[in-house]
Amino acid sequence: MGALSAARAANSDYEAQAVAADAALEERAWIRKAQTADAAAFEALYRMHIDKVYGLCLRMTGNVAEAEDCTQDAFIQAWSKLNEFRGESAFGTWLHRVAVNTVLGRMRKSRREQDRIRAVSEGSSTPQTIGDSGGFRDLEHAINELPSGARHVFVLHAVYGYSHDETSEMLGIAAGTSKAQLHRARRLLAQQLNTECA
Amino acid sequence: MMRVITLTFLGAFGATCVAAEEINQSLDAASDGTVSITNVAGMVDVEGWSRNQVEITGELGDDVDELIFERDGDEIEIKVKTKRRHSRDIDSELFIKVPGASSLEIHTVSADIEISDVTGEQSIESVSGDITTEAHNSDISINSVSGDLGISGDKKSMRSRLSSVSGDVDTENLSGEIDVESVSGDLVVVNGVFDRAALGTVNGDIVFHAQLLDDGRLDVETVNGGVDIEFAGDISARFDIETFNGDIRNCFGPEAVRVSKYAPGYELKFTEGDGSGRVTIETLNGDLRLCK
Amino acid sequence: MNEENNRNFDDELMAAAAKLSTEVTPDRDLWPGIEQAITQPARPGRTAWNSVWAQAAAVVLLVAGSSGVTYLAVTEDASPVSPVAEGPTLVFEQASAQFGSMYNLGPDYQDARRSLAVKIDEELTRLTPEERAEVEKNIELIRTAIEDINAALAAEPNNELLQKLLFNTYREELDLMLRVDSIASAAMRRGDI
Repeated sequence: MGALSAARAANSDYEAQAVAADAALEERAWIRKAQTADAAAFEALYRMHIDKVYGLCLRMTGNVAEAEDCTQDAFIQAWSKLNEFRGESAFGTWLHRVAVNTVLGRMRKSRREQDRIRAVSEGSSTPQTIGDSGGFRDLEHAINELPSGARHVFVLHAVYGYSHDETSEMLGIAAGTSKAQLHRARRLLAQQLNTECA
Repeated sequence: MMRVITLTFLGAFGATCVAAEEINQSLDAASDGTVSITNVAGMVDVEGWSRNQVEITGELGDDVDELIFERDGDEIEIKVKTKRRHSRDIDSELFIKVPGASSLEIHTVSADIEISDVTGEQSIESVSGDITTEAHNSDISINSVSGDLGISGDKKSMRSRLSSVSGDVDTENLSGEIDVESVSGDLVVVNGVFDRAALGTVNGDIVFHAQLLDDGRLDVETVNGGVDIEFAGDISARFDIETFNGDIRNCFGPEAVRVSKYAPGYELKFTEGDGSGRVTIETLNGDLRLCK
Repeated sequence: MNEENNRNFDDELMAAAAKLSTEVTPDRDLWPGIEQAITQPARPGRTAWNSVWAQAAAVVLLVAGSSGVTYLAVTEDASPVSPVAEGPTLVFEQASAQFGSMYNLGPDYQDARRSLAVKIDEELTRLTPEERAEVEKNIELIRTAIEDINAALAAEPNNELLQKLLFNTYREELDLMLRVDSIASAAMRRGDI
């Protein structure tokens, strides 16, 4: 469990704040060290954030193997861009953005060249259900089945709670497109969850 | 904006899947978007045209569940959905017109694929269906298991990656960079001008009758296949040829020499022209003919 | 569905989506691949390291460390001069009982090969009997070729051409499995069969 989740689980607010503050301090120290090309410090950051980045990659790609590759690429990207991180946003948010860009970049790339690797990996790796999706037991599966444009918007907006402005900025699309894709995603999800050809 | 058409051939509650027949549908499309097509069995015929529209005509098999035909931004998806591979009648024939500059992604199992007049990139795979296409200065990646590949280019420089397991691969007038691999299929590369060509088989024969540019590179490797190389135009390269049991016939003059007095194996090294390019050929049992 | 139902469904859908976990622990440690990429400046991190194919490629690199022959096979642009393996140090794994055990590609290669072999068996069951026979025939062809090369190698253990051909033919076998797996699963999945 990441530091933030640990903080969330803590009983009292005070305790939670203290843990979070500690984590933030620790994180800042690791970032400074990692910015001097210290791979061990970067590994500490990786350990703190891996679940968040992998979770996002998994939701965005709907595919375990692709999500693993994407996660690795995202951290590699983050490493090479680490000096651009100036602390304007939380490091986790910054990593999220890097991960979203990685997903989009990989998609563009795999569209250009027939991506053997991805196709191979996809065969056996539909992610199993994780987390509680209430009465929508097939929701995760249904999200994975969405066309990529609709899936990206749905994941960032509905699952991660980013606003339409943030979502569209991260995806490099117009806010209107983000809304339209969300609408489409809901409609497709409704179709999938309600009507299945037996 | 976005338009979605899903033709579902189902009763209201999905209890019965009724027979589908003739189709005739179209959607507006980007002039240079991507069209992805999946059809398990039957055939896929794609033709480029000058309209910014994708049109599908043809017939769906009786056991097909539905035809998905939808647009998402610059992408159009066409998918013949079937529940079971071995259903009796899932053969569907699709005749698809796409904007000429579209890129294509096509997947079939046994359906044959034919493509003409499409200039964007192509990424095509089939298991046993034959694939016939034209390449026009955009990269192509085409793979099959037992299907034969037939590709004709227009001599514009691009990258071709072609592979089969047992299907034959025939190309003409491709240019630029080519990478062809097969286990038992024969590889034939005729005409065209290459910077880089890599041809490999286990048992298939390899024929390369084309031009290798100065500074170009040709790598040929086979275990049991015969190799026939005939350079069109001038050739300037260092040659490095080795075979274990095969015979070497070299029109360039230099004779192959035995690698060792006591064991089989011949090698042939020589330079033609100013030697700017490089040709390597390696075989175990294959015979080799090298000419210009 | 009437409009109110629609709205209720939408609300429930969004609520369910918001409850999905946003943090997921990957099944395996992804750090080694990242570390490898960031500590090797010559290959700025663009490669995906964890796919089966990458495992296979990693095997090639791994073996490259231990033998001049494989050095030849993986660095095609290098000069043809390479150190000759001293006796039968390059040990490929056994393809069949007839084939001597002098050569071994190492445990990583065998892992990749084994996992692919399992996957390909699965994929093959989705093909028609004729298609399956075709693929099996070709796998057999490769294995026969491997045996042929090995038979020659038994007489000529230091022959670089043979060692290279053997190595590449093993790669070809792996590659065949990858390609068939890729093609079959892509079309099947897309056809939702």
